Amino acid sequence: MADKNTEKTNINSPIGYVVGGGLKANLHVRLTVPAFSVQEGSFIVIKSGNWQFYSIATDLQLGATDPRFADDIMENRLPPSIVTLLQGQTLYTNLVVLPSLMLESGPELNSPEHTVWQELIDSGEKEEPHPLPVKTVPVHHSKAFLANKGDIAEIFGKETVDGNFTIGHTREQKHPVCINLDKLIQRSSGIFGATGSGKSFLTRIILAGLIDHDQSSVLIYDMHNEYGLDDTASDTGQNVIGLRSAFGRTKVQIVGLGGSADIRGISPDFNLTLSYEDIMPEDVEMLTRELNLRETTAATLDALVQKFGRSGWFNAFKSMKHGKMVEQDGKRIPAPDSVAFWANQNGIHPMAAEGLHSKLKRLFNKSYIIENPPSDSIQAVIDSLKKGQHIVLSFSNFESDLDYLLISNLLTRRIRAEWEKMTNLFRNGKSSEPRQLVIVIEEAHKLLNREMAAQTTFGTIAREMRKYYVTLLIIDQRPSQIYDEVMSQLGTRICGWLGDDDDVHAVLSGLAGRDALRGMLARLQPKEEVLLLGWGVPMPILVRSRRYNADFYKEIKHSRKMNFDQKTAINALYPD
Amino acid sequence: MPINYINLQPQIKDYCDQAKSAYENRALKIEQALDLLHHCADEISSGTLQNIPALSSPHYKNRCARPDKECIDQSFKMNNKDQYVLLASDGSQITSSHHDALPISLINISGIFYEPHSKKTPEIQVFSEFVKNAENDISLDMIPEDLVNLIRDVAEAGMLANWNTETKLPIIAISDGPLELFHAPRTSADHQQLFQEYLQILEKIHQKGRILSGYIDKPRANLVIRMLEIIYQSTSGLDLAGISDADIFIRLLEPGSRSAIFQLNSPSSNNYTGPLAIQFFYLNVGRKDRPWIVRVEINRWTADNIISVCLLHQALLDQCRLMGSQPYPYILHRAHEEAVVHFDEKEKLTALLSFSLQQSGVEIVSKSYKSSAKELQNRTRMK
Amino acid sequence: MSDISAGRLLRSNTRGCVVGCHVSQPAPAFGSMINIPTKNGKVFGLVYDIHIDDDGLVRQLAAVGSVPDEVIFDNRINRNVPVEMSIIFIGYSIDNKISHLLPPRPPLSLDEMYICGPEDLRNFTNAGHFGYFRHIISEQDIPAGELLSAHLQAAGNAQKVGGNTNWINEAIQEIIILLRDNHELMTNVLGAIGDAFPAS
Repeated sequence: MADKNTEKTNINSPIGYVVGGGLKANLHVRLTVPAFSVQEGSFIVIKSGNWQFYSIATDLQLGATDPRFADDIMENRLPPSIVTLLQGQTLYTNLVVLPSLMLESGPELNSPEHTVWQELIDSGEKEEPHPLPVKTVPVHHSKAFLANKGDIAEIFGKETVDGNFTIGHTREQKHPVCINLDKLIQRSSGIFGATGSGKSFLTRIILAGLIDHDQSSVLIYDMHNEYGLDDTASDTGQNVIGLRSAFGRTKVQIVGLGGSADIRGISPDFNLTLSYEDIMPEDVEMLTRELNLRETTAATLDALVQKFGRSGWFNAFKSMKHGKMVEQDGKRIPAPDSVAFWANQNGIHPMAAEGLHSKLKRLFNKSYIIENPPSDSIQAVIDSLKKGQHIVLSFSNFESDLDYLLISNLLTRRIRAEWEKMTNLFRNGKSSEPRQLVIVIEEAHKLLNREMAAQTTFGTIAREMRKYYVTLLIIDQRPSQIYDEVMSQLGTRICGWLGDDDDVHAVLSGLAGRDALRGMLARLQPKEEVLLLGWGVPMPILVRSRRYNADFYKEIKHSRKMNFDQKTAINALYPD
Repeated sequence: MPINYINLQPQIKDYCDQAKSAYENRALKIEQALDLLHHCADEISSGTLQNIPALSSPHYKNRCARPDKECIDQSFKMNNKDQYVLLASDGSQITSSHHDALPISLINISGIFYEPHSKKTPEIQVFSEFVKNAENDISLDMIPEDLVNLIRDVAEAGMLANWNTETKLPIIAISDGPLELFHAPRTSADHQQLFQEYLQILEKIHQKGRILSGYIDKPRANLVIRMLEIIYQSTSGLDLAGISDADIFIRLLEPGSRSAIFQLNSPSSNNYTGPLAIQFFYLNVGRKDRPWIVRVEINRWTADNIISVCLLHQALLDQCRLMGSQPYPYILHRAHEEAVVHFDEKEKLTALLSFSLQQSGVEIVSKSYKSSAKELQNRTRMK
Repeated sequence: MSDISAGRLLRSNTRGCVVGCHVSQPAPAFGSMINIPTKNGKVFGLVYDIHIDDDGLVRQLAAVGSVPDEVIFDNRINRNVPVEMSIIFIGYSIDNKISHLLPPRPPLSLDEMYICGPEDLRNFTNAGHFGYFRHIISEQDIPAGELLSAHLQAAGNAQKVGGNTNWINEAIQEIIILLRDNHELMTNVLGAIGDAFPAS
């Protein structure tokens, strides 16, 4: 628990006082400072008796004791000093705040009552106060303050505590706001924002935090080759540090898709190729929309599996000839190695089989799917992740949706199966606890839309939560296209600017106070501000995100040094 | 009980019917009187009417005018712009009633001294006096109203006589009402004593050289008419009954003009002898569209001095003009205002005297119940 | 406080009174603060109306073209027509302790009225927090705007002499708070105050 005696005291001047509202309708705070000194999204603390209420400002409303005072321009009629006094009393701004948490702060510091109260806590008779979901309201005229550093730390944690990662700062007073990375990875999370809202930079920041914290492994499906290597920002032209450059090869490995993959002329740490045996029928079914497969696909695939087995069907099907005919008895019949022949033999309509075959040519022709890959690169990826390394899978030149969907789903399926096995062994006491794995997927709506969510491994992972120590970090600009059941399972949601109403609605679905937060998302400053909400954060808060630059990495390294336990190190070095 | 208006309506109607024909008759009579006045004036000036027995000396039975030096049908305009000062007095009284707890009688006399064009505030004096008995104590006896009035009139004149001033300008003294105290002789000792006192006061005023006048607003007298009736009593068909001097002089006098000065012949004329003899003239203090005739009584000492008459004429017009559309000498109005005793003051005075007497151990009888009953409040209403 | 009586009480109730004085007496101006000594203290009030009745004679004289000076002086000095001043009570003191409540008992007929000086103004306005404004604002038939404006001028000057230059702003603020639900009256009152303090 943070030192509440010093850090909870609001040394700020109050910005207003409570005049109305409630739990359902939000609280109304009459501002006693100019309206422009408080903005939507400000973190507000309301002090009422022995309690503090932590809230976020969701609206500012201009009002007047009589509408005519607002209509009349008194400056033309009265001296300036009188106008100032008049407007101070008749024109006002109400701040609408969404209360989220309440904390018992106890009686006035240094008062006898406080001493008694503290003794009760110290003796264990009274529970140590901690933030609770708001259950009541402050009284009329309770004073409201902009949160200070102590308030932020009280709710979101101190920077210096292990696991707390500073994601940004409050807008007004630039106090650091942390997210707890351990809590972040307990459930799947999401980073949302419209194109150009700074999602990628935000993702880099989170990933850097996770990698630096090193309590989980991270597998990043880098569809656009953004995260692994250094890049150049398209808008500013500035150098963008890649994760491998920041953390080194021992920690972060770049995997390129395909045998001869290179990423902007740079060779990856190793290549990912798939063998025919890696392709499962469900992988193909997942690509129904992409490949425009027909409803006969499932039957055809099933027949193939029955005939050739799960591992051999792909190779066998690939080997079949499409449309090959031979002469027999003066008649042209499908050749024995043709698709049609096999179809006839196995009770499948030849045209359905041929149709499937021709559509699967796009897979057959993929250079990263080979009969005998030099090594089991999927296993290599899994092993790296198990060892604690972080993988950035770069798709190189394979930038189509087909590649993305196939590879990400296939790989994730294998990884999840592996983690499931490890978990079961752990639960049976036969193995150590599996390392937490976070799988980062971009363009998540392609994999997690309503149609696909039931079919892909990602949908399963999202629904399972942390059952098998695998969670997702989904990055998307169209959250409305993500299956709402998946969205409701997300713990932490980090949102940049969103312009589409459906997307805003989707991001806020399942959250308390979503109506109040709706407008805020549309008014975030792109590339500057994000809104943190969801299960993973104690309460919604608007922050100015950190800059992703060289200073960012210096700060991380500095904070790592700060966490260095000097005493323990000295004792280890000099046991005498 | 309220008036029975239904009873009165036919009476009003009858009267109005008669009044109309009487009004038409009046116009003829006025014309006749005017003709007679002119005729009389001509005869006097031609010497035809030199010795009219009825008018040659005071005749106790007649109350009428007698020609003096000026032509009787002449009118005189005011051309004066001379300086003067004004002195006026008026009085009011409390008369005793047997309904009162304490039947007191009191006079309240005011005097006002006004210097036109001086930019000085008029000076006011007011004195109040209980009517005393022979022992010179406050009289709680029933004193007749006319005696109280006489006491008051004498006191008013006394105010005019005794006012001290250093001014060198002519002093015009005005009182409200006739200078002739009462028309008929009064024989009681009180009356006689007071009358003598009055004559002495008049003499004192005369000695001080003050121009004394009595101002009668809305005169109803027919002194000149009566004079014409006496002179031409033998003329057949002469009927001037019902018209007053004001009726003829309103036709004769332009606004601001006065009539000739006439001598006053009355049963009490003998008492006013020599310079005290009472004379009068009529004066139009109104305007063209609204003429207004008043009678002004003066003493011989004033009438014989044309300068005094002109000053008086000027002063009266100046004072009446101050009051605008309702001409009346301002100074007289103010004197009345200062002198008037309000009804509640009688109550307060009686209460004050009662309280003082009770303090001294004297028992007071209450007022009559008849009087108390009259004073019961009208119906009130809850708000 | 002036030692010269400025008039005598004619009639009163708990909210105010009417004081009569002769035109020759030193008359307080509109908005002046006055006090009427009572048995064990004083009643304080503000002059909100100065009333000079006409009568028949004055009306008649006024209708005439020119009125001589002597007649004017006669009417002003000699005639028994008093200047009547309407007073609204704003507080009282008992044993030198000032309260901004209405007096427990109104003063009596013929009690003398005195004009308050700057020190009285300061002492009264410093006691409490403008509580007496509500008496002025809640009274229906008085010119609240002009009255407050005149009072603020006088009291403000007295406070300034005493070293408190911010009193005016505090007073105006209090007036605004009291009137903020009454736009019409507020505009009226502030307009009058604005006219009195144009450069503030």
